[in-house]
Amino acid sequence: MRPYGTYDETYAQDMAVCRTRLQWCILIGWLVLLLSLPLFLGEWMINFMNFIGISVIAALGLNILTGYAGQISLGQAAFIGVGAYTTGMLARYLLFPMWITLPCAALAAGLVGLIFGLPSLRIKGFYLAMATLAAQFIIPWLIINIRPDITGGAHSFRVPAATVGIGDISLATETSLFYLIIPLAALMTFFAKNLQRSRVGRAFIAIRDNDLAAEVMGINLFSYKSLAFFICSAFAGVAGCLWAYWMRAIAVDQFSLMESIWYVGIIIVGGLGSTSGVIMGTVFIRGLDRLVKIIGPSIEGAVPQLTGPWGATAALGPMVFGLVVLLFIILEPRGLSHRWEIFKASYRLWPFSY
Amino acid sequence: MKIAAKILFVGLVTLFLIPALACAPKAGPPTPPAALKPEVIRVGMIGDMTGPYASIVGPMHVAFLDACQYVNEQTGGIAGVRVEAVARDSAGKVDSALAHYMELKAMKPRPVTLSFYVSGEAEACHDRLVEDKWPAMTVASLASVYPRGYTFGVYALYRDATGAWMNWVMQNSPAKNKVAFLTWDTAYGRDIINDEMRAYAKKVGINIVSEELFGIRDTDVSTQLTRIMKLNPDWIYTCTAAHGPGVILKSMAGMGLIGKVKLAGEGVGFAEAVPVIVGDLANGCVVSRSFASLAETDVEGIKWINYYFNLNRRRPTDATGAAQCAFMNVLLTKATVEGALAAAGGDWSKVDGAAIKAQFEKLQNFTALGLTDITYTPERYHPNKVRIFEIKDKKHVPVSGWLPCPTDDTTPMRLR
Repeated sequence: MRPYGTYDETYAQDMAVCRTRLQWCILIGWLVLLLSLPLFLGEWMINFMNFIGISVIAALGLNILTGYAGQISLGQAAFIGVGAYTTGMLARYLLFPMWITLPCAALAAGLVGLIFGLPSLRIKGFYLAMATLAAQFIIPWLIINIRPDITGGAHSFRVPAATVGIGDISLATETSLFYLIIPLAALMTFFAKNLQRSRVGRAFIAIRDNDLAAEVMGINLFSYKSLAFFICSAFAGVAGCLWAYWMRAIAVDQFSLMESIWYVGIIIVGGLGSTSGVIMGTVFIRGLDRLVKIIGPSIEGAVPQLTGPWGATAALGPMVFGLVVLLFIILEPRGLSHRWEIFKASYRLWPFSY
Repeated sequence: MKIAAKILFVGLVTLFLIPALACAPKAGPPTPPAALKPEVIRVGMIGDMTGPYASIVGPMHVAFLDACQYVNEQTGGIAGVRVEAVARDSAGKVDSALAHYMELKAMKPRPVTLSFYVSGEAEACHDRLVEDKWPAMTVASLASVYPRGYTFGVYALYRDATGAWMNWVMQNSPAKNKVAFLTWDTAYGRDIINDEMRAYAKKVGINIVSEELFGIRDTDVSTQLTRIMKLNPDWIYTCTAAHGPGVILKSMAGMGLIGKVKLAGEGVGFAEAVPVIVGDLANGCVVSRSFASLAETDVEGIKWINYYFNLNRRRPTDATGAAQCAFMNVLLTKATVEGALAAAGGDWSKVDGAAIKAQFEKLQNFTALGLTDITYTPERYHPNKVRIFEIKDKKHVPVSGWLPCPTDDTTPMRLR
């Protein structure tokens, strides 16, 4: 629903993301506020913002695949791992700067994702999920066993701080990484949003809604499904690149099946097919996880019986995550983004109820 | 349009200005007056208390608290200053550990030392510790954790402990030299499986007949044992923690192998928790490790561990070898901070991370109330002595004195 008095006179206006000056001001204001955060937030919060930024990029990729194209993947964390290891090896052995490792990581993860997406032409739904799950087992095995002398094998692989290739400038602090991760997350969000409104995006949506009908309309299912997997994994590769620079020591344990499930949970909670929903879902799920870690010890302090491996901190995380996903699927399957749209519509219509 | 262009221009300028301002070097905290004594000294701990390593790190957490209580009540704190433990749970996730690292770093006062209990977390923070000049200790005994920096081990490298055990075998029963490795498929488990370790075994006369792996969550290893037993080994050696030896022993019992082949292991994992899990099955197992056993009640450190264990009514499952490591960490902090203060002539403002690190490098034969024997050098940031224990009547009983670890460098080439 558009603001009162806003009319489209051209195709460009109809396609515009920001329709009014006010919306432009709000967008720029948000960006300024976002980029100002390091001025008044501590390193712990900046660290969290970096985590959010990386998660948003990975979840955006999955949202393109699942939310737009209707294909499912349970291997997103493994593709992040491919991006992370590509970055690590290029940065450590070849001393490549960040601006080279970043596209290489995206390309490597994209190509690997493409391979695991090939079965999508023949199988769908549950079976496709199982096929992509294979990535979650095969990729870590390959990292550990094929060339442990290069990948570090089961040991952690140390990654040097990100360099930009100009002098000896490196992005070693949380704040400097913030100014790499957050603008990239914004750029990827812009790309994802635009993709939705492009010919490719419309083809994805047609495949999601009815792949047979889409094929009849002339959409090449193989090409577009493969493209969806490639883009999804390339996003994961970018996230992996940033993860490697952020973490500075990567290991296969960091890219577990559980992480892939978290990403599926994020896009469900945010709202499948919604770009803004991805951001909301990421902030909500990752924030909830951090919150649990903060309040868990307090609960354990108050009730000593709830301490230890089976105590409040250990149990709350998975329980809250499971419960939240369950409640969203039952009560609000269209996610937080739908709630936000309802709120905006109500605000604009107020005081009328229709 | 002009207004929109102006807004865009101002916005873009602001977007470039803000990062420049935020990344600009900030003024450091004001230097405290020379003789100002802190009100409290914090010691930090980050570990997996609720994740896959909870059975080991959980007990370390309570022992860490007990150790701080010991230092405060029995020794008057660190140089007369009360010690406060700050423990954070990473749940086995490196990103959580990193977040806690940032939180502890922002604390005022910042903990003087950090203790890590999981390899991946220690590795992720290694470079940050160097940048922040923050001394840390870890029981993660992988060579990849200790490229020289600010991270010190309280425990011999896994390969070093294994090498020392091989020497002990060849000294005591050279005819029984056939060894099969049955170990976790993790960085910890795989640390003993490499060409350098094989070369060392060959050099001392140990015949490694088999190398088998199993998953950290596997509950049965009878398939691996079947393959191993075809090669008729004298020993099975493992690098697994708590439930890992338990899984092997239960599988061995199921196949009737107890007594036919002996199980030995690296001792941080093959600690007091193993007899708690499998009971009498653990009897006869041999362990190589760098710290005293809880059964050595004549050792002063063990006396205090047991005293605070009973005083604070800890659970029986918390009585593991983790307690010794946690006590060693806190006592190392006390020794190095007091050493740094003495070196600074009592000037607390000079007791910083670099000064504490310098004291670590000077530590010679540090016994931590008889719990261990640690000597660091500027070239070696981990101990190089172990003792061999045999589990008898569900207790780790020492069967050797302190043995030097191999002088051969068994670090894989790629980690050097």
